[in-house]
Amino acid sequence: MSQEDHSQPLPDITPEDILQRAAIDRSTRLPVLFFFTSAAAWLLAATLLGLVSSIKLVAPGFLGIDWLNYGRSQPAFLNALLYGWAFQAGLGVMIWMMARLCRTELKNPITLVVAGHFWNAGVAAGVIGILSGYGTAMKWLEFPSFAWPILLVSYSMIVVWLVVMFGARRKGHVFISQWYLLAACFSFPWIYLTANLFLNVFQQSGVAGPAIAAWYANNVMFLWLVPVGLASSYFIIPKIVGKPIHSYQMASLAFWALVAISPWAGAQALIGGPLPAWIPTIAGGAQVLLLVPVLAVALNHYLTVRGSHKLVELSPSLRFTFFGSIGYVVTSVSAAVLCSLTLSRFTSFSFTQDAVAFCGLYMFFTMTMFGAIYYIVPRITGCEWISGPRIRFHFWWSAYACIALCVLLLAAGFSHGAAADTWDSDMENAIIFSKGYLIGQILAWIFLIIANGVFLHHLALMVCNRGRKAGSATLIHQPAPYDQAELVITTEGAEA
Amino acid sequence: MNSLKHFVLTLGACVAVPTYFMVAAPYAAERNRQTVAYVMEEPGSGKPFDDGAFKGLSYPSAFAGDRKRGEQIYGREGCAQCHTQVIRPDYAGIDQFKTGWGKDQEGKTIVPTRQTLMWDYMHENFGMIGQRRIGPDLANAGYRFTGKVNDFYLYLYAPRARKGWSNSPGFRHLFITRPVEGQGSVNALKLPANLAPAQGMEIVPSSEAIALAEYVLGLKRDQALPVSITGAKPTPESK
Repeated sequence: MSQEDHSQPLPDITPEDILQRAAIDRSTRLPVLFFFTSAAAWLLAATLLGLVSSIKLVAPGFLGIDWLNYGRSQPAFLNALLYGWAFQAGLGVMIWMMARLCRTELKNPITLVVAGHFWNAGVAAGVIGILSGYGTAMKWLEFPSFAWPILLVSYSMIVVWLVVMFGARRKGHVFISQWYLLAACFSFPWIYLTANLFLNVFQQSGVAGPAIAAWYANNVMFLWLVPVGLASSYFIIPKIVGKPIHSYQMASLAFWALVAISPWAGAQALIGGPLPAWIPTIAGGAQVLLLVPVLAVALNHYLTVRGSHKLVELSPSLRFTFFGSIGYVVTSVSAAVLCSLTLSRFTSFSFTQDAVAFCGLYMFFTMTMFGAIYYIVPRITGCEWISGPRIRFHFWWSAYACIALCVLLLAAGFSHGAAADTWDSDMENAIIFSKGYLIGQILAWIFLIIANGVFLHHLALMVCNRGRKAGSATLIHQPAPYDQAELVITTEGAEA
Repeated sequence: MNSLKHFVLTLGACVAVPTYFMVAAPYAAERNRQTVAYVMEEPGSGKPFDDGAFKGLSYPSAFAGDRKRGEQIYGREGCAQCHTQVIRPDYAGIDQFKTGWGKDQEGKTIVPTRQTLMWDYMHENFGMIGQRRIGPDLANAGYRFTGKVNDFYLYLYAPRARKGWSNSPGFRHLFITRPVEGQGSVNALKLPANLAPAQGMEIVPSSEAIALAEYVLGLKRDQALPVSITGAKPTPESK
């Protein structure tokens, strides 16, 4: 990557730049809003399914419908959250950011929307397939086997245009976010095709099957969610703070470390399982090594924001993004800690892995995407978010609920695993000991549903052009008068 | 690096190498895995080798019955979300000593249950290691229900009829309620009063429940290993 000098302040923005940005925003308006709204609708659906599955853990007879049994509602929830919400929110962010960073207008918004409809149809058919009893037992690949070609083709139809945009970019500096976006464009088709070829087409995988599924799940997290999330935070943080990333070299190093290490990880989920021991060993080692890029990114973000922490309090985008960055560190550290053989006897088949998955999907990725959506939507709709307090409500209820969920799932996992680790006990103790935490989980889900309902409503109003037409950006709090001058400089200077 | 071509090539190399080692190679190893024959005489010396009881057999023995269908139903109902089928070695957990997780269903397990190996899953489309262990392990669930298939159906239909603390869901869609004909089915569920069907009706397992029962009752992943795998002739104590 280029070795340009990044210590210079950002160049001044010319009127042409502003016009060009407006034109780019207009060209991406349709597909980006399409992906954001359908993602937000899926998010609400997924959290409802999550509530059902968490109730089913403590009251298996709830609602009395067999197709909502935990064995079906849990994978339906996870796949809806991953493919319905995370991928579509990520695609929306990818399209807009790629266009902005390449400074090219999107030429074919309709193609992307058509592909997006196919993606939605594939996810809907997959989720209904799981619920009606056509799912598989493969981790994060539970969709019936007809769904994957639909998803793969529609994803490729979308990202191919992002690569084309990158090829047609205005020459000059390539931002670190662009590398992350490109990596996300290529990595998902690769890992998704690989996993589905081996598991759904070639079949007869025996015990390699769960290892491949675990590899896939881990790589969706670290080769797709992480690149998209980091592309967004590397974009949002410098924009809001008004200065470039602290160290481009460190960012570049962290990028290549992530890409080189994470495809080795995944199979550590099967520590002690009937696999050749080198597979989980190398995978676990890779997962621990991943802490290097994680800490480099965290340090870089911290040093960029340093001195401007006041803005985390005021700017919705920065606050969600900052929280998401912390979520990234927490996810990676807990995933690395759970590679320990000593702990794995309690944790390897318990709720702790749900805690890590949820942490990555929600505390990191979802919160980062909220930050990006709060940044992007006003620019493409031409109106401001309606109410700061509503954003504040969304932030605190989401933050509280997802921290609570992760902590409760970790605690449930440890107590369940420790209670099951005695030779003469039935599973009775394990189930009774973890029950309290699982009941607490239900409460956190209700919080999440309320928060996401508020978010969907707020977003829908923006999409329907009912946002605030005039005035400055919507902030979470009204800044105190003495902050105002400083704030104008910092936000306007980097104003997109 | 500012060129798309270089970027794609480097990225491809970074991902392709691990894909080979973590996905393709393990898959090929499992796909090509062969059953191992028990050998009665040590090659060369001609001394007794494997246990004579296994003469002419190989490990693992093929699965009997409608297992494939049962395996499918096990997968689609999400059984693997809460049930594992793996006995971990003693350095990774206590599975080998858990009461009822091996052949011995009563009291303390004196002889450790054998840890599960790659061969134990080689006839399966997708090894049902399982994602969580909320319920008991099912690697050797066959022993739990040997000769007691009706107990299995009862668990499946109403898990809390026998164990009040269980949080397993019931699978009522795998059962049929129908009028009693003649003396009634031998598999008709004997339910407690609050769950019993109306007078003159009986609840019997559907063909899917029967296939699932065949699968679960066939789960006995503790077949004695051939000496060619263990590398040591089993002593009488550890057999």
